[in-house]
Amino acid sequence: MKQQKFYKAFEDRYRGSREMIKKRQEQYLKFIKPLTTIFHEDTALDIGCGRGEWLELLKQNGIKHIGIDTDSDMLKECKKQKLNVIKSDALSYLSKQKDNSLILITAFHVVEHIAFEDLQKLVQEALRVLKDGGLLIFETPNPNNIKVATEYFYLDPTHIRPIPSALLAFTTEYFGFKRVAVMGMQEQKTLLEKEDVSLKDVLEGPSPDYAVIAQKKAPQEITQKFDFIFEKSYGLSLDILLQKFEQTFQRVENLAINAEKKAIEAEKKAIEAEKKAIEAEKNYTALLNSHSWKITQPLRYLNKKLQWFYTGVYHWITFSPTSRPRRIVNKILLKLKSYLNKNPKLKTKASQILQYFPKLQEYVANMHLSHTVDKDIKHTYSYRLNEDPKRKLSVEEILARIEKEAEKKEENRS
Amino acid sequence: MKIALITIQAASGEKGGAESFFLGLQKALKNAGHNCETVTFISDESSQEKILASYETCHTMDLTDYDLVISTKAPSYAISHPNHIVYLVHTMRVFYDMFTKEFPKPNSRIKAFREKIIKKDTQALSKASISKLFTIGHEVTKRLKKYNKIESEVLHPPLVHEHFYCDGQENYIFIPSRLHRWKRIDLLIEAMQYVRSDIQLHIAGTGEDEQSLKKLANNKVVFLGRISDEAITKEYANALAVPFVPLQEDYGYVTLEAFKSKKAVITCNDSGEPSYFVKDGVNGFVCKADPQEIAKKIDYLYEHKDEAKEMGKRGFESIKHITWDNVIKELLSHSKKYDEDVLILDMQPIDPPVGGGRLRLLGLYHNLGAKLKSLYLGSYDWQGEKFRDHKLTPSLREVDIALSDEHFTQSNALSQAVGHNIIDLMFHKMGDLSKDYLMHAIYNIKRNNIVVFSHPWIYPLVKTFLTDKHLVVYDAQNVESYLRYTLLSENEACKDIIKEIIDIEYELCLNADIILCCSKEDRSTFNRLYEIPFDKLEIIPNGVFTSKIIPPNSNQKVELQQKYFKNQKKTAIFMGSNYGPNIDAAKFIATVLAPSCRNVNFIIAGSVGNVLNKESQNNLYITGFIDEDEKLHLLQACDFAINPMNGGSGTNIKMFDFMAAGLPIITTAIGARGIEQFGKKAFFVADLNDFVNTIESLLAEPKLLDHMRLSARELALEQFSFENISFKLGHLLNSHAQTLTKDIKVSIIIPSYERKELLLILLEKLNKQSFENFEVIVIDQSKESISNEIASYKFELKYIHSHIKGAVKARNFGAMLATGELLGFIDDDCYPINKEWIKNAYELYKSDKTIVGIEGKISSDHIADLAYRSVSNVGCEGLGFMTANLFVSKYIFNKIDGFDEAFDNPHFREDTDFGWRMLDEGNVPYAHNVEVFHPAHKKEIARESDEQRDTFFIKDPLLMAKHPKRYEQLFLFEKHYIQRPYFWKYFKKGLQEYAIDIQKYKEIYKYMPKEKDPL
Repeated sequence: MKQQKFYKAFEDRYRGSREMIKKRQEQYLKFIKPLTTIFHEDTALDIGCGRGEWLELLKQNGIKHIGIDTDSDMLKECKKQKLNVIKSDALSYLSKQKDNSLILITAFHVVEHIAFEDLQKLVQEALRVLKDGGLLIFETPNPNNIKVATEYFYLDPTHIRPIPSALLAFTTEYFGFKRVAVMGMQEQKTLLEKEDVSLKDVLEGPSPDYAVIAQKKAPQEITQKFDFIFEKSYGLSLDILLQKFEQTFQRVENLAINAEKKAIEAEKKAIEAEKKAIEAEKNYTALLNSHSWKITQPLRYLNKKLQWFYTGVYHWITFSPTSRPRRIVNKILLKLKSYLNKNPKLKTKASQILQYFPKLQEYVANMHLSHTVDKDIKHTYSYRLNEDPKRKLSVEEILARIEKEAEKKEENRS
Repeated sequence: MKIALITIQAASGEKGGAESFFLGLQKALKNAGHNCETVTFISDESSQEKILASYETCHTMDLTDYDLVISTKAPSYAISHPNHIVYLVHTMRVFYDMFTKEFPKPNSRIKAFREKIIKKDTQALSKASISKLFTIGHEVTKRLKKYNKIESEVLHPPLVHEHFYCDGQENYIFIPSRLHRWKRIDLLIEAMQYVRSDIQLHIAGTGEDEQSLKKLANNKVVFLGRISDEAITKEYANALAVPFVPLQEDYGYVTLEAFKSKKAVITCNDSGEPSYFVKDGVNGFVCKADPQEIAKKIDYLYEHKDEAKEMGKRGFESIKHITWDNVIKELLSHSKKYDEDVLILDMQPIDPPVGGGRLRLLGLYHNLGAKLKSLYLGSYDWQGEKFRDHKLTPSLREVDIALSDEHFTQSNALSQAVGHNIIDLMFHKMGDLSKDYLMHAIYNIKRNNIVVFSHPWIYPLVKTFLTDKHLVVYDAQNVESYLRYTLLSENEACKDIIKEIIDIEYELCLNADIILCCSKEDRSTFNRLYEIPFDKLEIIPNGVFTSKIIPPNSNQKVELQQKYFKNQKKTAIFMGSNYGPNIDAAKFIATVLAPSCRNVNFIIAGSVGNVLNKESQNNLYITGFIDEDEKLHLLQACDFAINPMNGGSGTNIKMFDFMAAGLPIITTAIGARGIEQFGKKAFFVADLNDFVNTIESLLAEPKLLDHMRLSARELALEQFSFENISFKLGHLLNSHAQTLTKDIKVSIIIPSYERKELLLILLEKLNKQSFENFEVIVIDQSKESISNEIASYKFELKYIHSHIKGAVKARNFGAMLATGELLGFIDDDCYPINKEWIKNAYELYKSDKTIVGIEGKISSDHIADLAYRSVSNVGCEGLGFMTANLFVSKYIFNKIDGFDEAFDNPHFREDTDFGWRMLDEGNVPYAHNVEVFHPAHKKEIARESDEQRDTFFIKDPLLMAKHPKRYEQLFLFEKHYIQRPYFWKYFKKGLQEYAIDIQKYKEIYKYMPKEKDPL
């Protein structure tokens, strides 16, 4: 009992308001619309109906519905809304249903709560119970979104494991559904148009939920009405964002290359710079091998703020040595050093990397700059009350004692 | 020394002469054995905002890890550092001499910005914490004088590489240069058109003006382009001379390089620094910037090659003194030393020491014991003061660093908002605005193990820099939270401020190793409010310089009295500043006392008199403000003091002045707050409406008055002399610092007086104790210190040679220095029977939480020998608590204020009194296995004779008065009153001495012989 109440409370806090959920689920109405034109008196089943948002939508759209859930508190809520619900678990309910009796089976955020064997049984039973052309819809958190996969998913203690869309889609097809569509849901729409994609976007941007819509075999005159579902792709995937991120990166690189080209032209005039560049080149030859590429590759995915850093690295690697003037390299090294000085962990890493390049290591060590400092390193002080862990008393307690003390003294005086 | 050479690198990465200067200076400092690092700021001069940002970056940088910083280019000198030398290469010249060239038609915005930069530079470069300002040359110095009105000294930097040499005299003159208009190569090229001789001009280098210059050149001019360093030296070596004619060059290494190659230099009178190096006709020529003039000089040298050679040699000689060794020596001679042992932080100045707070600072730290030197870092809580670094006494250095204008602006705004000056209370939030002060504090915290916070305000700002190695001390001049509450609680706006004060003070108390309290009252407040354990709370009272304020001798007194007063009446003095409660007291004297006691002269001294109606009555004198000398003379001229205070907080420090001058005092209880008499009679406490009677009865007893005179001086000397307080405090700090990182559990305390041999035996025996974590504190009051004769022991020994006399005081002093949780007292002529003495005591103490102390067994010899007095506590367990073998927890010792020093001189009964007070706190078991041997004393020794021995009973009435019931039992048990011949004689003397009324103690009075007092 207590467990169930907990889940209701949890849902109330984290799942979102009725209105919000409904708003989200409205997106599915367009997918089931053809069903209403084909079947008229048939019923749609919602497994794990919860507070009944979806049932309400079905009701409003004139579709007969039945909802099942194992949580009495949730069901009470549904009954209040005059919704048609039964307390039951999915498998036992389905097992009692006749073949070819339902037009739609939905399960929003259910499959991640059940064991995989049960999921397989559920898919098989759904196939049996659905009419020809009927739809099975699963919605579940999308592990393709890294933030979801690593954090949000585990906010719900009853979640068992994240299910990748490919697995869920494959399961439906394997057990006999005619065709299946995977669609990302609830992503931020503006992100699709965005050009300069940040690392944060890559990590948090992919659709946080996805749905699998599977259809049971049916004659073509029925299935063609649903073709639009299976022809288009929906949502925003990690790969798309990664691709965009790569493009952003490429643009920055190109900009940098152009800037460098100009610098090179200017430098060509300076005989000294040219000469020194040849000297410098000797020191950097060591960098121009595959080691550096490998080692610096992870840096590409660092925060956007690091862009100057990897453009710098990129130049080391891609520029033809004779044309690279020492001055530019110096500047980069200067910034790199200053950056590393501020980040002790990176510094350790960098010094490990430098071990592979003894000449460069020596050069950096001998650089006229032993310490380079930027304005970020300074003594800053921020004051907070009640900070020290040794405290046993709060400021308020002490204040109360002082007040008492002062009162006592006042009394003594009078 | 760890030195930071602060350099500026242009964000564009461009390098020039300054960079090789930095390199050379760093190398030279390293060669001189210093750990010199360059700290490079990247300065972006692409916009006004970025320029200002780089000033701010430098200003806020914490470089306190470096012992010394040397700043160079703009804006590196904006740095805040306590040991800062400027070696100025240049300010941003485009805002100085190059301004009109770069901005021929400046708009008002750029003009204003120029003003701003010049002002910023002036501020930064005139910071008083900069110990010396050097420039690389006269041009820079002149510019500083002209634009910033700042004086500086020229220190020419030498060349970085000195591989130049002289070879021959070929028919060319040589100039290496960047081809830039400021270098005026065009002037040389033009000159070559007028040169008649068969000579060439060799130009090495490239630059933006290369093309135009090449167009200008005739066939006598050869452009070598960029050539190697070796090629350059070779060009120099074989040249006839070096023409170097830049426009207002700040330094110009070319001159030095030419002279190093023994070549004459031709320069122009507007060329800047080269014209200082070149002496016309001596080592080259200085001529007008005119091509024909220059051409003449070239021709002259061509025609007089020998003279050219001589000039070159003289040039070589003229720069011989410019060496890195000399530069480093000169630079470092201005490096400041901070080699003090104790750092004291507060935000007021000490000098002049007016007012209680500053006087306390001076008193406490003016001459710390254990030869500790102290550095006081303070500031001013008002605007407009300058940096100050001076020695107040041979061992106390005061450095005051002004707070920033921004700090005052913000603090004034807030003060106005809350209607109360809160600059001190808000220091923890605003201190970051005063980097100069803060960097001084941080720098010295990093280099000092003992850090004293006088007031808690600075603590939050620097707490992150305190480590386990720091002895952190809070010198609590008040219980700030309580004091501020009483002052500010009516003010709604100050509610949060009070909370923060509590927060800061509480945290400091928690993290301090020792808290110094002014009085018992403050100490118990700390304990009640913050639950700070007593063993961390030490009482360091306020006091008086007893060597400065001294009683007069009788001749002096007569003289002074005649000088000030024309009559024979007794004279009473009151002193005070212009402060509310003082004014009330002065008014009371003027309106009540003076009219009532016509036979007494009354003096009201000090600025309190400024607000009084000066209409003097014939027995009332009002002086107004007086200086220290006059104060002393007045004190010495008077007969007694009055202190009719009826308000105010803290201790009345004037009481100490009165006592030191040997003046008996009649005071109110408020006036005597926090001041104990330790059994002495220095002052009478009376109600205001009883003052007249008390004065009259005191004057009626001239003998009493004389007695009190002595007592007052004695009390001041023994308890409130800053000389002694500073001595004790120094040892307190030193003792804690010595064993800060050691796990001391037991402190053995040995007072010693002229028993060197016995003491050394005792130390040897202690060395054999099986227990490990203990320290031994010896307070030796002998004439000579034996610190040289003391071996090293496995325990921590703290040997203190003290001039302060008295065994009771010695024990209290020793206990104050103790860092163990359990204190063990033993006498210098005793020794533990076995090596388990400390171990058994400590184990027993730890076995039961109710145990606060242990009375150890004392065995003796010559038990039945009448010629000896054997000392043992066998048979009187739980009665005597003899200090030859007594353990007590440090917590309880501090809580019950240790031994009562009223029982000193001669010391007797202090142990019993202490033991009984200890029993009020918990159990004090008698332990047979914690045993000490005390040798019997032969009776013929003078101080052991019967009457001598019985003089000690003078202390019995004191004990009786403090513990009537227990004393009664002891009295009957010991039967001294029957057995000792002189018991009653000295008992009665004690009654009189301590003004005790025997009638109140009926059970004792019963036994007292009733004949008339023989005294």
